[in-house]
Amino acid sequence: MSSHHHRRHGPTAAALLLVVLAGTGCGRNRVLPSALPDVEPSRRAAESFVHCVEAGTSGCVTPGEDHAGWDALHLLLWLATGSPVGILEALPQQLTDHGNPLRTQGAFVGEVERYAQALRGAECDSTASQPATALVDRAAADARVRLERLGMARAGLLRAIEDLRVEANTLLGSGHLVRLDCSYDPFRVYVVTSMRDGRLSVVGMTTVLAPEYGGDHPSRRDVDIRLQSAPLGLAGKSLPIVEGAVDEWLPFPVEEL
Amino acid sequence: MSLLAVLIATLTALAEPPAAPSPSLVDDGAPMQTFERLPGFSAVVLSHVSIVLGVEALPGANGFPLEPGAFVTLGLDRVWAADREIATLVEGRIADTVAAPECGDLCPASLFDAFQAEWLALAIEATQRTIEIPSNVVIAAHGRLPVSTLLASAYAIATSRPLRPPSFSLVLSSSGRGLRAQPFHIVGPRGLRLSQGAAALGLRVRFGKDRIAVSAADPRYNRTLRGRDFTGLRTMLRDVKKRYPGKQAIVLVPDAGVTVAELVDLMVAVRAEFPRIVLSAGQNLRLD
Repeated sequence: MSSHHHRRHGPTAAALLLVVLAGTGCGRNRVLPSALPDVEPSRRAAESFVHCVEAGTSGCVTPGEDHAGWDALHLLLWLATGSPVGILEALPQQLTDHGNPLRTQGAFVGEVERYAQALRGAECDSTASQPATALVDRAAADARVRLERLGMARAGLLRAIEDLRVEANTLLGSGHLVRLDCSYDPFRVYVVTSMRDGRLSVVGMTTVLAPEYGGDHPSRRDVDIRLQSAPLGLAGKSLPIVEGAVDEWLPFPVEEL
Repeated sequence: MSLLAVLIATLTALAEPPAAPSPSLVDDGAPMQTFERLPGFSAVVLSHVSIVLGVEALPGANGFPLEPGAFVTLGLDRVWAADREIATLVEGRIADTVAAPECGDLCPASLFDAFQAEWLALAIEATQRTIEIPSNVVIAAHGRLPVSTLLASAYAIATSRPLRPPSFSLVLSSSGRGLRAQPFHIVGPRGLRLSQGAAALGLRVRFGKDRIAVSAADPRYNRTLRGRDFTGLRTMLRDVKKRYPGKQAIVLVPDAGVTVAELVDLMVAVRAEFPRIVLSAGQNLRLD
């Protein structure tokens, strides 16, 4: 099988530097704890973060913050719902990257940068929040059951799942996953907060979450728009047809037909 | 902290060697050794198919190694994208009668929508995990599934994929060799129109319960060979091959009542002479 390449490059050191340089110009995503119910500061922090991104800077990601907790949860969610072929291909590298704080921060910065343009004018508002730890335990349990069912649950992988679960619970602690519904692409944003040393920080973001974890099935319209949206890099992209091929459906020499 | 201090701190951090992987993930000191024990793609498909269909339900034949890709399972009552159930069937048939214009009315809208959502998930996964969107789709179909459902699914999968249609393989159960694959292409939803100068023959086999008809899109071929069994078909195709030794492709046009197992028997019968197998739902194939 021939495959085409549209590999994305991970965040670079320059991008991380940009984060820090720009950071002083942004309001940051920190909210002091208030007397309101615990969930409210998380939702406010999430909205502040998205507004910061909307304002057009990458400085919304706090440098030096520990992003491994979100990265661990994100890996568990991926193992529970991601494509088996993707997991088989990328899991070893993803777990290696997980051990590198620069890479976990870089992954978050990359996701923010990818959607920064789209978020401007997306009109996002928080609609729900859930404790991160409940999500961590559920995702870990689901990942374990799923990988066992698919015959992928070797001892090393089960141990990795347990390690990720413990790490995510430890680092996210009293953090929350906040769902924001947006009027426009990307339609959903999920922001993860973490409380460290009395300060609330945003440590992760994604635009997709399975319904069983508080997300939903995108509508047909939303799917259409997202597949054409700039963050995924697919719109307007054309791949060369094999020279001499019949057409894109029959990619072999016309002489063979 | 001043901007300069932040800059220095950052440059210092960037100059440091990458931190060691989390100790918890490298207890044995060699993280990669742990993950080398991941199973192969074929084993994963086998596990899933064994649970939802039973391997004995797959069409049996020898074939090629199973290449990794997105995998879809078509049972008699359900459709799965990987291990996620995305549609229901009634005795192998699609109940939805609303056709999707995106696939030239060759697939139901509900199936098109379901697969398009799967492609979106794969596209997002590709950005987050620095991998490619699969360009190969492996279909495990129940042997008694009507070919019309297989074709409708293939058109839904192909027309909803961003960028270009994927390549396809049908999963076969090969006695003593595990799962194997039969690669195939599909004719575009609008058919195919080529000029005679394209040097194409356009050999095709129409196939029903009791009839086999071999013809070609090239008007110069100008004949229809008819047979009733695969032995006769093989003889016909050997004769065609002698006249057109450079041709490798053959278009199979199965009747709606044909099952996947019968289609695989046909594939096996033709592939010795014409290994590039193309499926068609009956669209026009013209050479003008």
